[in-house]
Amino acid sequence: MPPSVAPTPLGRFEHLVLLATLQLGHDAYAVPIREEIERRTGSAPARGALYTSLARLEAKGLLASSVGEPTAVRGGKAKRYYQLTATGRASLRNARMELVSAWPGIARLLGGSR
Amino acid sequence: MSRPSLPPALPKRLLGRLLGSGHFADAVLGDLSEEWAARMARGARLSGVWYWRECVSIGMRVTAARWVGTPLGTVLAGGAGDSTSTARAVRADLSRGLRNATRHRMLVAVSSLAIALGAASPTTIFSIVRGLSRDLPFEDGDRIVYVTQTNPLTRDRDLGLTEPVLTTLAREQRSLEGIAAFSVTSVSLVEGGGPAERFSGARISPAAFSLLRVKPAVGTVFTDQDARDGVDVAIISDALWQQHFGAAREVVGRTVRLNGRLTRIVAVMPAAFRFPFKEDVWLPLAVRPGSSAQPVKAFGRVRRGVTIAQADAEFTGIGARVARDPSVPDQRVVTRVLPFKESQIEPSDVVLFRAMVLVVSTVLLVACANVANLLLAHVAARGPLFAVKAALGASRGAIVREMLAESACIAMLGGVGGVLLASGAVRWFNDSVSDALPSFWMTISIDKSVLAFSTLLVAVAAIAAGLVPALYASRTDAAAALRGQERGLSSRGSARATRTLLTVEIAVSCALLAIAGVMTKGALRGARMDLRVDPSNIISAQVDLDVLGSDVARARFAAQAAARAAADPRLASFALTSVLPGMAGAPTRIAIGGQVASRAADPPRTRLAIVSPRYFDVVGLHAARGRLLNDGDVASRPSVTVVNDAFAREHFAGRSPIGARIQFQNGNTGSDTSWATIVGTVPDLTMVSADPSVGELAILPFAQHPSSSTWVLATGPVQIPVVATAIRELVHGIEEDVPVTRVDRLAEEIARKRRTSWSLVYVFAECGLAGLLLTALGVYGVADTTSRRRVRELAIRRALGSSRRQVAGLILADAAFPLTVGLAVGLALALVAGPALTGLLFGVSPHDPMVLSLVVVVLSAVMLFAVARPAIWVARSPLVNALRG
Repeated sequence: MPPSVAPTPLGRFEHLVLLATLQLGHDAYAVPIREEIERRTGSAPARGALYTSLARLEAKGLLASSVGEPTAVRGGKAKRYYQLTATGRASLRNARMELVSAWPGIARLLGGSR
Repeated sequence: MSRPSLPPALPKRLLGRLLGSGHFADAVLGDLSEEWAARMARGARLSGVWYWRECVSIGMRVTAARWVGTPLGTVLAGGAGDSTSTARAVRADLSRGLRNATRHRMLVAVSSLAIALGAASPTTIFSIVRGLSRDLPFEDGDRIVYVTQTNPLTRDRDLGLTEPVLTTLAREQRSLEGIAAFSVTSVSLVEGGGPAERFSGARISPAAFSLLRVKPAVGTVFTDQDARDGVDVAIISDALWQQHFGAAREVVGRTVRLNGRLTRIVAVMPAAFRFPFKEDVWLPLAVRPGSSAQPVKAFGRVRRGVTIAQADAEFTGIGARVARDPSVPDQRVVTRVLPFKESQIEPSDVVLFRAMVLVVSTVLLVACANVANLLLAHVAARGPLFAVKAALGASRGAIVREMLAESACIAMLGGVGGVLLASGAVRWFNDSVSDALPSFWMTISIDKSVLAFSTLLVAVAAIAAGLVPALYASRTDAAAALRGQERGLSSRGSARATRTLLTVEIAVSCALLAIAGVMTKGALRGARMDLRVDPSNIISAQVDLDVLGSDVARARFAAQAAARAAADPRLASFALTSVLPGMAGAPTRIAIGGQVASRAADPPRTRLAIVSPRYFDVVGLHAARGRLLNDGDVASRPSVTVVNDAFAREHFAGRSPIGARIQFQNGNTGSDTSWATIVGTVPDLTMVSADPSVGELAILPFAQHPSSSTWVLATGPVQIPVVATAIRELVHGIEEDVPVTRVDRLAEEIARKRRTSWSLVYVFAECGLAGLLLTALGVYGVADTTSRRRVRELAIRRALGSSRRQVAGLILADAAFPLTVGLAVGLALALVAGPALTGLLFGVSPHDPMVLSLVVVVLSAVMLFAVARPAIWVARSPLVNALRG
């Protein structure tokens, strides 16, 4: 499932963040989300961009967050776990459907083996 | 790993403060700590750098997100929520501008470098002007005024006040809180058996300290009673206290030898107090009725509710009444009250400096023209993009705003760079001239008002550089733009705009280069020097004979010194002089026997040097006519003088001046000194002064005019340090209270004096060079772009049968218009502005034909070089390539 570059109601980066969060399940906080995105796309996003996107997605109601337990290795600071809301899941499904219905027959015209 | 190390505290604290408190901040900082620990565990290098970079990056992103006002919910909203829609729109424009700017890094780098170079010059000059015209650093420092008498006829602007005038003014005036008198003097200090040291000091009325509202840091200031009784007490500066007395509080009450008298120190002033100019020691001054007629300086504090102009009017009135008294020697004098700072810097100088700010600001104008041209070319390349935006409903205003935001980003970057460059220049300037600044309050630094000035410059630059490209971008015709690459932006219009900008740029840089050129030539001429002997073999030292008290004692000192030097095998020659060879004394008014001054307002003037007879040997001067000064010219003999050729030329029109008599007028009260007979002439010796209008020199014998501040010049057959020791021993052998300072090679001393007096000229010359650099780059860049735009057309012409020569001719013709019009306007500007600089040019004409033609040649060469490249390319390359673009 390649990441889309076509315009969707979700921005490209938002799309990636939601996918990574979904994939990580109950262990989704910023550090592993970033690693997951890096693993999938080959490049790690800037941390600042990730934090602002997470905040924006939460503000839009696509993500919900909860506060974990503080640990020593984190300097006594708590983690902030994210999970997709129903709206978040619907948006992701919608984005996928748009692409899936848009792509048939196109890959051949594009040539190459992308 | 022994124990887990912690991430750097400073970036963590800064980021924490930026994010505020709450779960979001905790999560971010916790994540960073976690990743830090992971890096440490795997032994990653440069983790400190990594941590800093991440904190800065996150901080910037979060700030940008808040600033733009993107709806980020409660976690990030830091006050952006309640901003008005206009503010949000401006922020959005700026952030888009920033994003565009980051996309075209090369364009931004070049443009902001240009703006930085352009903004640095005016910022530097402005901070110098501001430093020189600062108010005194006292409570209501702008109310401190200088009181003096001037003589409008003779243009003496600071005669000081004589005792009767001062007493009358103090009794009758109502507009000042009080008047205090002072006179600057030099003080020799002997302490603890060491050699005498020289300091600058002031005799000052005790009332001065309360008028200035300054209290001593240690001890109490002297009183009126002390001054009246003539008690030997002194106040010292913080610097003297630190350096000489190790900042010991017990210094108060200690007794030292000042000017040969045992003097008790009563107080130490706070740091930075050096009033009136750069003093280290203050002695009490009492102006008693009937005391000597030697004038003193005076200052006061204007009462609240009274303006300086009102005080001036009152004092002028009182002064006029005093002047009607027949006992007053010169009734033409006018009593003035002026801001204290103007006692050191003439208002006309400040005007000149302000004019300089304007002149160097044109460097910024050139930079803006360059950037505008770059942006214009950039807009032309992006024509279709703007067309699409317009087609999608972007208003003209929106496109103009976006372009302006981009140029604002460039200007901001450039402004920061410019201020950094300027602060380097200011530091350099301070290093080289701080000794030469006449007064303690003149501190040259990049302060708030300088920064405000630079911000204004940057704002102007942003609009100047961005407006024309923005308007062109917004005029894009969508259909046309999408049809063909460059036709979208009406290319004829943009070409016309480019050509106009190019013309303006050439005009401005031509004027700027002409001015910088004559200044540089002036500075170079000033640096030349034709001493007839090698100054590196001569040792110079400053001696201060003030402590000797009387002219008779000073003349005796000179005679004894000459005798001892002759007997000292370490000294080959030894002479005294009031002015170092190669330097120029202040001009003095003279009257010439048998000649009537043609205009009372403009009497003849000459510079003076007071020397001992051996001076001529030391500097290698021989008599051209008549004789030199000799040991027989002593106080009891008739007064004599030797003049230089310039003097003879100016006042005797080629006739021999020998036997003529001249009279030196001392400026204070118009009282005249005795007549001196000219006994010989000497060739002109370089006298370095920015103002060469007075090249005349009269040399007087020390024995007849013993001056208190003088230089020793000596040569010896042995090494420099031995000669230096010999000078010290000789002086102290005669009188141990005479301070000997600045013992060094004459060549060094001259170099030091020059550095200080020419730094300003160098600053201007460097501004001119920055302008040349920008101009050359700009002209090249623009001409190159314009010619490239025509490559396809020229190739078609070639294909249709034009010869290479014809095509080259077309390109040259294209360049000819902006070049000729620009040069003509620029030269006209330089001719109009030039005369204002006369005083700074060391005698170089502001319309120096060599400099002006050099400027024309350089600019034409740059222009030709710029247009030649594409022409050669078209001529050489296969037509097909050119037609493909």
